This record gives sequence, C-alpha cells and structure tokens, in this order.
Amino acid sequence: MNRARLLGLLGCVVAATAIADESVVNSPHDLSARSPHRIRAVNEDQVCVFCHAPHNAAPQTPLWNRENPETYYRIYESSTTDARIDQPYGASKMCLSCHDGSLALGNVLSRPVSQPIVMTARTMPPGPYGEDADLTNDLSDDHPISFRYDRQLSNVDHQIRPPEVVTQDLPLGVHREVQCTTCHDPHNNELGDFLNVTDEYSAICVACHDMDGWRYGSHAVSNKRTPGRVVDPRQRLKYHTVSDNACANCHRIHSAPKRERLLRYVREEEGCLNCHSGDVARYNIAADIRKSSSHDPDPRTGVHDPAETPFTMARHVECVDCHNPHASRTRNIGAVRGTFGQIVKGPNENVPGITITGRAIEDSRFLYEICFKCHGDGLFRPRIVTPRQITQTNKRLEFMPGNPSYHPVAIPLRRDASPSLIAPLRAGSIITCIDCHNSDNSRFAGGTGANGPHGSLYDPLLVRNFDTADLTAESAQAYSLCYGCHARDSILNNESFSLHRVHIVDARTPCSVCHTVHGIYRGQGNAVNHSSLINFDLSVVTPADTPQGRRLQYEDTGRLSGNCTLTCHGMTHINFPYANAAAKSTSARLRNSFPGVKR
Amino acid sequence: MKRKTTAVGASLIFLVSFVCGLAFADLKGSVHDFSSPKWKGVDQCGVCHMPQTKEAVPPLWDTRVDLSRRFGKMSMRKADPGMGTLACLRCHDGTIAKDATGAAIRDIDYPTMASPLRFGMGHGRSDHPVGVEYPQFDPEYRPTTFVLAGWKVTLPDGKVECSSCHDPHAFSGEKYLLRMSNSGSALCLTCHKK
Amino acid sequence: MSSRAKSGWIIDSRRIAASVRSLTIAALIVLGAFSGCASPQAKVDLVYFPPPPVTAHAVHLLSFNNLGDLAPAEQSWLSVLRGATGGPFVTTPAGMAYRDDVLYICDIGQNVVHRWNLQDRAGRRLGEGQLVKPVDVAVDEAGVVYVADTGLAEVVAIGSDGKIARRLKPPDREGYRPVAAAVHGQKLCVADIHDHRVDVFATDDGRLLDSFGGAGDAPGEFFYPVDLAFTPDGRLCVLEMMNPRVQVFDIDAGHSLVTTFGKPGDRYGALGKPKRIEVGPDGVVFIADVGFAYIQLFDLQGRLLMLLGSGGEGHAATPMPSGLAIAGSLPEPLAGLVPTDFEASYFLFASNSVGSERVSLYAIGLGRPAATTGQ
Repeated sequence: MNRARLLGLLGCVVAATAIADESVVNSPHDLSARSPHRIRAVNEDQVCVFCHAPHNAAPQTPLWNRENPETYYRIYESSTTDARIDQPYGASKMCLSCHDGSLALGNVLSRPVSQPIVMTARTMPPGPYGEDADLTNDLSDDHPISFRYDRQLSNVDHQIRPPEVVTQDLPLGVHREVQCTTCHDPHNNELGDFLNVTDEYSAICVACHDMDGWRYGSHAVSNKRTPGRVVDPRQRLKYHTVSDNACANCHRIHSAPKRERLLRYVREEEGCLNCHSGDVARYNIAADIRKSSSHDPDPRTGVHDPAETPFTMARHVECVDCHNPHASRTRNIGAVRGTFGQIVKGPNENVPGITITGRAIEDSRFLYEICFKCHGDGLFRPRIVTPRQITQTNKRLEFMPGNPSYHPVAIPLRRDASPSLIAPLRAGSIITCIDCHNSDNSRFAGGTGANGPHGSLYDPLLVRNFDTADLTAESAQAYSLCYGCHARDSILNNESFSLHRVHIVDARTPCSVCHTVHGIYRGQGNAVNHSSLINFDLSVVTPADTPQGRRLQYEDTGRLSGNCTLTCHGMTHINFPYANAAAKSTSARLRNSFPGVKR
Repeated sequence: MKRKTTAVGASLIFLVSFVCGLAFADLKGSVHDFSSPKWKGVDQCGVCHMPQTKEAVPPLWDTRVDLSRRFGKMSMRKADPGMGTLACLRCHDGTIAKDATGAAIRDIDYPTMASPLRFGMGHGRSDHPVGVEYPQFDPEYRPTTFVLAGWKVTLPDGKVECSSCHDPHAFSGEKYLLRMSNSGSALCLTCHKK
Repeated sequence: MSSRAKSGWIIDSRRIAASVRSLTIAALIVLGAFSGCASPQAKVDLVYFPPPPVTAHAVHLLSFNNLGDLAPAEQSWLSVLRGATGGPFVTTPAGMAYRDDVLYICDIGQNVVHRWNLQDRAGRRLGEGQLVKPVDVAVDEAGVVYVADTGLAEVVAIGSDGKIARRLKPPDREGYRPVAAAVHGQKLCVADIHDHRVDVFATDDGRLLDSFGGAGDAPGEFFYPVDLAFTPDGRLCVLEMMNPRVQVFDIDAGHSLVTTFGKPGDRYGALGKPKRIEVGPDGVVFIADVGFAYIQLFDLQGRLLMLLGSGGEGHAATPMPSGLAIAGSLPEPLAGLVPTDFEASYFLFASNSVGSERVSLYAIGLGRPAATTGQ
C-alpha cells in the first residue's frame, strides 16, 4: 500500500512537472489558493472547480459549474458592420459569467449559494487586472461576439476573409459563430492574454480581417519605435514598434474609448497625431494643421463616418477623409511632375472618392477624386470670395473634359498650351491639385514638411504665395504660385498674351483679375469667350458702354490672339484686339486701325 | 500442471484476501461503509456484490435456459457504459443515492432536441461522460500511458467509467471516494491537458 | 426581340427550386399514400420472449426516445417535410405510469414528468421548474398525478390543470425520501427509504391513513423499499432492494402481511438488485432487476416465469431498467403493432436510464404455437 501511494505520489509529481508550461495552472485563470496571482481563493485548492464540475454541472457542454448571467448586454454597433450581432450566447456567456463583473467569482453550482468559495475579490475588480478583464454589461466597446461568420458575411464584406481560409487555431462556435473562445483559449496563457494566436504583428486580427492594402501599409511594416509616451496613456502598448503592435496602435479590442470601430481615442485625429506629430512618424502634421489656412481636423467627434456618401454628408474634415490608415504607405507622389503624379500613390492609397464624371468609387485612382468628395458635388460649398463673370463652386465641373478651358488636372489639354510652361511641363501634361494646394513647407515647396494640403500660410492652402489684390506690384514673390509653372520671363516678355507686361507690371493687375484658376464649366462658358481661363473679376473689371449696350466680353480670335470689351482701371476697351508676339506688327496695325482704343 | 493451477489458485486467493483486507481497512468510516448501524443486518459486500447462490430454479415458461448462468458479474459486460459505471448507477440514480445519471444522457443522439439541452433550456444538470472511449490521440488529453502511469486513475477497457476516478472501496481515503487527491485539480489534470 | 428572348429563355433558379420542391412534395404525397394506407407496418425486428421455438409470452414491439417515434406511418412524411421528427423527448427516464391512453414518464435528466397522450400524440411537461428529482409517478382515477420527488423530499400532487394541487409528506419525518408511489382506489401508498416505511395517504384530502414498516429484515419490516405495486385484487406489493424480496400486504385490513417471496442471489430464481415492480392484470409480477439487467417475471407464489429483455446491447436491451408501467389496452396505431401470431392480453412499458433505447413497449400474452413454430 505504501508502495502504491509512493507510486501515486510519483505520478503526481510527474503530472505536476508536465503541466507546468502552457497550462491553466499558475495562469491568471488559476483561481486556486495556490495561484501566484492577485485574484484567488482563500482556501480552495482545486483549479478546475471555479468553472467545471464532474457532477451536477450545468447542462452546457464543458461541465459548466457556474450560473450564467441573465444580464442584457449593450452590444457593438457600427455603421460598417455587416454581421448580425446577437446578445452573447454559448461559450461567450460562460466567460461573461465572471468577466461582466456582475456575478461573484466564488459562486459555483457545486456549492450551495449560501456557501460560495471565498475569494480575495468578490467580483471581477476593475484596476490593473480590470479595464479589460471586467468587460461590464456594455459590450459595445468590445470586439463583437456571437455573430455568425460564414460565407454570407465574407461575401458582403470583402475585407473579411472567407471563413474556410481562417486558421483552425481560431475555432468558431457550434453554429460557426465568433465567440470569446475564437480568440481566447481560457486554459493556455502561453501567448499572453490567453490568445489562441499571437497578437504580434496583429497576426490574430489579420487572420480574419483582410484590410485592403494592409500588407504593404506603413502601419504594418514600419519599424519606427513607439516610445511609452506616445501610446494610449491608460494602456501601454504590448510591443515596441509600429509594425509589432500593428492594429493595436490605433485600436483597442476591449473597452475601447471610441466604441464604434474600437479606437483608442475618442477624437479620431488624436489617434493619428499621437504619432504624426514628429515623435514617431517622420513628419509633423500637427504643426501643419495649426496654420492659418489648413485642413484642420474637425474638433467634433463622429462627424466622419466611413459609410457616409459624399453627396449628402455634413461638411467636415478628418485625417481619414483623405487617408486610409490601413493602406497608407510611404511613397513619393508626383515624383516626375506632369506625368504620373496624378495617380494615387502612397499615403492616399485606397481612399474613396468621386470620379470626374461624378460617380462615387471605393478606391480612388487619382488624387483629385479624393478632393472632389468635399470640393465637388457635396451639399456644402465654399462661399464665393471673388465675384466673377461665371461663378462655379463645384470644382469637379470646373475640371470636366470638354470645358472651354481648364487646368489639366483631370485630363490633359488637347489644344496647344501656353508657351510659358516650364519643362518638363508641356502640352499634354497633367498636374495635380497638390501642385498648387500644398503645405507651404512641404518638400514639394522646397521645405522639409510632408507633401499634401495639410496646412499653409497662404490662403487658400496654397503651396506658394498668390496675391489677388488689385494694384499689386509685380514681383517673383507676388505671383510665385503661377510662376512655379508659367515662367515669369515668358509671361513678362509677352510670349503668350502680347500685353501681359502692360497689364501685370505697368497696370499692376494681378493674374486673378483676368484669369480664373481651375476652369470654366462648359455648361456656363464657351470656347470663344472663355478660353485661356478668362473669367473676369467683377470687382475690378466692369462692362464697357458700347453701341450695342453695356458689354463685358473677351473674344478668342485664334492662336494667342483675341479682343476685349470692358472697363478696367478706368480704361475702356471696345473690341480691343491683341495678337501674339510673333505677329506683333499685325497687332500694332490692328491697334492703329481701331480708333476707339484710348490710353 | 495441477501444481501450477494450485499455485495460481493460492496466489489468487492471497491476492483477493489482500485486496479485500485493504478494501475493508479503508471502507471503514467511509461513505460506503455499509457496516454502520444504519445498514445493520446487511451483508456489507452484498450491497454491491450479489451473493452467489448454489441452486438455480428453471423458469416455468422457459425451461430451456442454461441454469449455470450467473447474472450481474462485474466482468461480464463489455458494452458501454461498462460495469464500472452500471454497478454504480444501480443505486446512484436519484432513488437510493445521489444521482449521477446525467452522464448517461450523452449516448443518445437526439436529432431535433440536442440543441435545447446544449443551450440550457432544460432544468437538467450534466455530469462528466462515462462509458466513453478515452481520447488517447486528442492533443487536449494526455496519452493513456501517462494517465495509467500514476497507478491511480483507471481506464477499464480503455474507457472512462465511474471507476476511473472513484474507488467504491475508498482505497485512497480521499473525499468523494476519489482515487487520488484532487488538490490543485491533480485528478482532473491527470487526463485533461489544460 | 431581345427582351422577349430574355423572358422566354432566362433560367430563374428560384422558379426551378420551387418546381423541384413541389415535385418533391407531390412524390412524397404519393409515397405517403402508398405507405400510409397500409396500417402500421409489420415490424420485421420483433423480439419474442422466450425466444422461439418456445411458446412466446411477450413480444418487444418497439423502443422510443421521443413521442415522435410513436407517430403512425401516415404522419411521418409530413413531419419529415416539417423537419421535426422528434417531438417531446425523454432524457433519463425513471418511474412510469399509464392510465387512460396517457403515459407518464419521470425524467431525472430534465427534472420534469412527461405526460404523453398516445391517442392524439400530444406531449406535455408537468412540473417544469418545480420538480427537482422526480423518481416515480402514480395517477389516480381523477387524473391527479402524484410525483415522488427525492430532491423536494415530498410527494407532489399535480392536478389536471398542470398546477401543484397538494404536497404530501408525513408529519415529523426527518430526511424523508419518497422513492415510489402507487395508487389504488382512494389510497396513495408511498415508500420512504430513509425510514424504510410505507405510508398510506388518502387521495381526497391528503391525510396520512397508515404508516408501517421500519428498518429490518423481519416480516413486516423493510430494508430499502424501492417500489410499490398493487395486485389486481388490491393488495400492496412492497419490493425491497437491499434485502431482495417482495412482501404482499392487505392494506384494507390493517396492513396484514399476506405473503412474501424472493431471495437474493445471482442465478435463475433469485433476485439481484430489484428496482421496480409492477403487477399485471393476470397476476404476473414484473420486477425490473438492475443487478441482473433483466425484467424478471414471477407469479404471486414467487415462482420464476421467465426473463424479459437482455443485459447486453442491441434491440430490446434492458441494461438499467428504471421504470415499469402496465397498460391494459393501447390506442389503435400502437395496438396494431402486435404481430398476428401473438395474442396480446396487455402491454408493458419499460424504461432504461442508460442505453440507446430509453423506453420499450412489450406486449404480454400468448404466442400461437403454430404461428411461432412456423417462423
């Protein structure tokens, strides 16, 4: 008998050593009195009894030894969720019997209600163990559970992988639903947090979530370190670099402050600026957006909704309006100006937009499509700063193909372009919105900041200065925005408009008095009167009295020639003709033959 | 040959008496101590082990039976659940003693009503399965050799029965007639790799 | 032209599915008409006791776990279409009772008493949420259901409206543990294995009429009286488990002991661990023996008649018989299951707490020798 007992003891020792690793014993789920953790029983030395009993257990499958809570839970809601999320059931309900903080930890079915197991904490406490451990009955700030994960779901949402390709390490419930036990194995804490798959590189998240562009996205591959300060102050990130933490940089799976989409910060931009203020990421966007003319993120929360339609959404701007943090990556944009700069690359990968024809698309191909979301057909248009002959607040219409004249943002100019263009720009070149609208200290502008219309000293968010006030003294600085593409020498030498110098230098007329910037919508102007972006500023240019009545008109009469009927700076032109420099003599002859012209 | 048989018989008798001696030693005072005043007048082995009778009476309606047949022998039944379970359920069915028959519900496959049970709609309780093959190749469980190496937990015919965890003779002196102490859930973790 | 071609030729999968479904239903209707018209199909796997060539005295008709298994063939195809073949089910049956086409089954797995009307096949759960461990049930002539509940430690009388009408318990009885109930006329007898007594209650007002017994092995004393049954002439049979014997009392004449039989053992003629007793209208005593794993048939003189069931696996097995109920007659679809070569005088329901077949139905009577030998 002694011998048998000795053998038994030996067996126990073997068992004890064999179960030391990756076992529930000594893990936080070991609630026995011998557990090294803070929450444990005072006397009870069994490990399993807190959840399981061999006899008289609940009818649920793993011999469940606890009452299940009858709590009504607030469940996760999001405008972009396609799954039908139910009240928790099945295995999740069992987890919640402790982790919703309502039922006493020592209340087990195998004991009378009056004599529960005495624990160091009656219920799941908040605090260092808590926050995540005590999920409360509000599950709207936690990853959804108890929803069916099937082909129907993955067919609707292409960013969810088909369930059959998800690793078997993430088991689904009886009816193929996601439960707590899909991500967590309550018995095995080898990977921490009782995870089934490691969360390093967010491997456990991307097992199901196939976010567009994530594979090469900066947030997935960056090895920038995330120092302790630049994280959610209430919860330190588990790993040390951006790519190691991956999803966890921005999302919190449990008890997320921003419920919808489980974000770490209630204000969306704070999540971005947390790293993009010069600490972790290369550029200090926070400085840019504080400038006088900027895309300053809306201080309100919840104004941006990924499910919004550009046509009806409220006016707002957030980082995620132009950037998809899952797909964003470092890549120079507009490296060769005028050629491929227009195609969306790098930071703006995979952002919805509006095409030049006004159709909403999920994945913008061109930068301007992103801009058109707000600056196109939306309900909320900017106020008109400069009164012109033709006013148009829909930028999309101004760049439409077929317009009498436009800057070649959407499509190249087919007709011969201005002779002033600086190489490599030429007829057929394409430019981008950010050729003009860009941060003033961007690398594009010769500075050190980030490219892109984040913020500028020059209104309206211009990359360089652009004076529009009448009687501005001409200088390279005054119109440096225009001179960036249109050579100052060429302009002042009258290579395009033969009277440019007279107007700009002598009469101190800014470019914007005669030219509009973006384009003339074909539904409003025609190629005769509105070529070369001619759209007079009515605060400076007024109609002229002619025999036919008061008229204000520009007329295109061929290549680099035309005539004007207007009053400006006290001068009246009636059918005042001009011609290009090559035909200077002709223009002089014409000028002499029109006696109505006065100087 | 005869000598050998005698030797085997002698050693068998010795073994049986040794085991019985041990059993009685440990039964005394346990919950299965049927010699207590409450059970006065009962052959204390006869509560579980049926007494062996000498003569048999042929049934009136069926005279062709084999009269030498003995019923209810512990080793007779090889089906599931085995005798290591059935012998217990004779009393532990809620009438004589605390019931443990919830375990037996698992061997029925109900086509339409499995779900209400599983989701706890009934008021029933469940028990650890018995009469089931030990899942020796399941990574969630320890190999059979490991389980049996402790000389405590038994797997009669490779199956989990009541007698896998419980010893009706109270050999170990543990609570609930367990075969070994469940301190630190050591008994559970002998099989379950958790 | 194109649109006409479209409407003419495009294949609408939903329409095809609908037509397939209607075809299936039609086919099933035809099948049902053929199979259903033939009144309950002849079971090919009937088991006779004793086995041929001896003249049979019992035949196993069918086994079932849920009420749906008892549905006649005409309904089966409909229920298949509905996707519900099971209906009310029994998990771990204990004691049973039968009266007026209604089968009562105690279920200690679900902690209810099933009330299955075999005439219209309507199932009802009695005492849902109120019973704790119902181990035996008896029904009186008024339809009141008496449930012996060892968890509640009292006998619960459930009226015909499904509500608990009365709770019966002898006064000043510590550790009361009622395990069996039997009704005869106006008297309800309950066996208590804690004090090893039998109590007689009046069914009309629940008053304790008589109480007799006490622990011991002398005549008139009991040791674990696990079940009670009434003989056709109104005498009470008390079955003891740990001191295996049957004592017959005349409870109308001051519980005088009429006769006693049974002795422990492990061979033919002895009792192993008898658990349940029931007496047929012809005086045959059925004893469910969990030690033998058989149902033993005795006559009232204590002579062994035969063994019913089988200790092993398979059809008509009785691995752990846990309840018995005698039915004098059965509704037509079930009565039609009796083979033509057997003359049934009454029926026996027997439950098992383990095994794949939880409730079995036997016909008791006499096989016609010519027919049985013909098989």
